Amino acid sequence: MRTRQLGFLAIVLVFAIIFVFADPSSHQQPVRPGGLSTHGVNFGSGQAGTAGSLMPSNVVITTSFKANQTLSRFIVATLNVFPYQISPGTELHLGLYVNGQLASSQNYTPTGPYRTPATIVSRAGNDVANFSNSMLGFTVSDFPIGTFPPGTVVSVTAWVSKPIWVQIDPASSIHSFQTVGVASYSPVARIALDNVGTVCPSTVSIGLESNGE
Amino acid sequence: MANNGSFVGICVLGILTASLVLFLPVHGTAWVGNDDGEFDGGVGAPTPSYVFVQESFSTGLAWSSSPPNNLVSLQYNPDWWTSYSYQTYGDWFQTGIINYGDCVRFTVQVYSLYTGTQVWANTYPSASCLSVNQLDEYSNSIWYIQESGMNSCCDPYVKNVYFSVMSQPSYSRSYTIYPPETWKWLRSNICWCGTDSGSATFTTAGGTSQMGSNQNLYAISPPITISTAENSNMPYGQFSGSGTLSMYQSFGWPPPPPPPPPRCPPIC
Repeated sequence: MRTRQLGFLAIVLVFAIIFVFADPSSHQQPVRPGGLSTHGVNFGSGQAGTAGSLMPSNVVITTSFKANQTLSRFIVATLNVFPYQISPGTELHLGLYVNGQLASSQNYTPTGPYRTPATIVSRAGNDVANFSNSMLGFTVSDFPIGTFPPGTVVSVTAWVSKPIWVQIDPASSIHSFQTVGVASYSPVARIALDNVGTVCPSTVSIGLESNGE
Repeated sequence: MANNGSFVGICVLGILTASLVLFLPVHGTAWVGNDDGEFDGGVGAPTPSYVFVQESFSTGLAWSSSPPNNLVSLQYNPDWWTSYSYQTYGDWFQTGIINYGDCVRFTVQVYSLYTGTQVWANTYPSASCLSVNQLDEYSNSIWYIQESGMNSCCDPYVKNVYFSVMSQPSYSRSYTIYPPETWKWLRSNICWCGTDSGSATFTTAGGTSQMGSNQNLYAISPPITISTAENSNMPYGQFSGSGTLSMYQSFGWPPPPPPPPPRCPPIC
């Protein structure tokens, strides 16, 4: 009888030990995150405006920026699209290049309905307009990365299968360049660091962010 | 018989000892700052397609200090231990609205819980902030964050995060961030907090927090381990509507009583 009791007690203890080690809270203590930071490294366009341009289909648009700080851990590029008359089935392809070398690509098929569709507030020509305050920020990211020094050139390519309205940066001193007649898109491994095609009428707004801790 | 008695005693003692280890204490009264309680889908229920938090003000927002930058934020934070155990790479997927004073930025920030370092972030706008007339002063402002795109069957990853702030209907801003489809939606809480590891001291604020989804949400005890590095003095009430599609909770303080009417002179 005593043997059976001790055996039962041993089983209970074994299960208790298994439970303790299976409980996530008994694992090694995770580290507290750094908190909601306002100190990211931001370069690229300011993005606060509401000016948009109709991006044509079958055109690759390339916009490049030179980083003025060290880039580390991640690079995130954002192309802003106005949720305005986006045709069903529209494909958006983004490519991210670091010093001309393909780092990442991302494809989207934007599908509505959108909670807050954008509306045109005023027009400044056939293909340029000011919109209400609603946008979709499509990202293409490279992470984790090593460290890139100031002066690193980050380029973003964009291609759409049907025209969409994208945010532009009228005050930018940077130009976007376009290559027309690209019926289907797949990102190339390398792009030139200077002019890629012809200058676009408007500079596409591209947000760029990296770690700032 | 005596052997049986001691055996039972050993078992009871063993169970009591094990319960101290296994069942950690739950605190349910100090719902302040970064500790508002949590909301989650049901056990075994499908992953919700979206889960939103909506903060509807009835008293305007003001603060006396919020070091280091005098900024405050609405944070939508996942549970720390759940993230550590179940999130991709043990990451912590945080979304938030940063308030510069009637001017906001929308952000998604992801941290590694192994190193504490930021592994991904996207903030809109990348520079400056979006002005929203009377966002803080207006007593009926609405702040909204929705994490969406999860598929109940087999794809638990957040595909987009919709942000919106509105003071009066003509003053609104909205933006949607499409992060990499890497991180899952997990049980979460909200936090009216500072930024950059700081603690905000709010002087006035009040309203209702609503958490909504296409799946029933359940209130669960506040986390033992607080996720975010920020804090504040914002008080939160108990949840109502747990187990339904919409849960509610008060935040802040009731508005001060109106001043008494002027005393009537004796002649009237």
